[in-house]
Amino acid sequence: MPENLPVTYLFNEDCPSHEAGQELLSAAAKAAGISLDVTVVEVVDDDQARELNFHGSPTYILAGEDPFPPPEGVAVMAQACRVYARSDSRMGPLPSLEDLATALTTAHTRTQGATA
Amino acid sequence: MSLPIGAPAPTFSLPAVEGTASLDQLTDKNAVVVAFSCNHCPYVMAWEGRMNDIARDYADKGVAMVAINANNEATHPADSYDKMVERANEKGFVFAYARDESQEVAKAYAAERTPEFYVLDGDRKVAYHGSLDDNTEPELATTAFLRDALDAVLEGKTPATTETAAVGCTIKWKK
Repeated sequence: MPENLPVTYLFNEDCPSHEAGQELLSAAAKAAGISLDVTVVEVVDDDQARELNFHGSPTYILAGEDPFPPPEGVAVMAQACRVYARSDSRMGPLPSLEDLATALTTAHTRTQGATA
Repeated sequence: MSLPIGAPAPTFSLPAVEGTASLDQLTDKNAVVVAFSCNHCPYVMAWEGRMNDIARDYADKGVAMVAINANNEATHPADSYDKMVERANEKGFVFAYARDESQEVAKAYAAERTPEFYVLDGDRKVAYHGSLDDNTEPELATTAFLRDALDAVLEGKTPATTETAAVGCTIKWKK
């Protein structure tokens, strides 16, 4: 039986997208047909941001990997909204549902392959 | 606490991507949009195309838009003046894009986020304060707050909605 995909959801309250970001995660998991084990972590200061390599709120860590590597030069700090360059060529505060569902599927396949 | 509806707009004169952006130079305009904005924020990125559309659509109606970036460039280098020039040229901004290095203008307007919009009427009093519309995704937006406010002001009326929550990144203050 496939294990749930471990997801760490990093956010900072300074950025208003964190609730929508969690709803998006649930919707993407449903779209991808993948069950998740989600750990929610609030990033409260810059030291923690550096420790977690946090490039803005929200950040999705799927089975230990960030599926949306930020461009070079993006500040690592707690009080920042993350920029998502989406596959539809738009920029915004969240990935698209399709992009996140694809990332979940990729991470799930990777972890299932590793445990097979 | 935000600048109240009906309050006189604080004046300003700031270095802009092209020349100077000054409220006193806009006395011939029927309305002015003051938008607190920046380069780095994804909410600005999501809305800046619509900002440009509004500035273009309302220019012939005597409306000027001034976007003001007050962010601390020490913590957010993407918001420096040089980066503003690059962004304005890359995106073809048709509105003025000004730098509030001292952050005094942002404080005078009690601005908190980017993007955050103020519509000033012909008397330069605040007629609307808040968001451009109700969704970062243009196809999902149902209420065009900023356009509705401008239409009302240009007709000499009070906007049906005068205040909405500004949704975006916090202004990055100097410590």
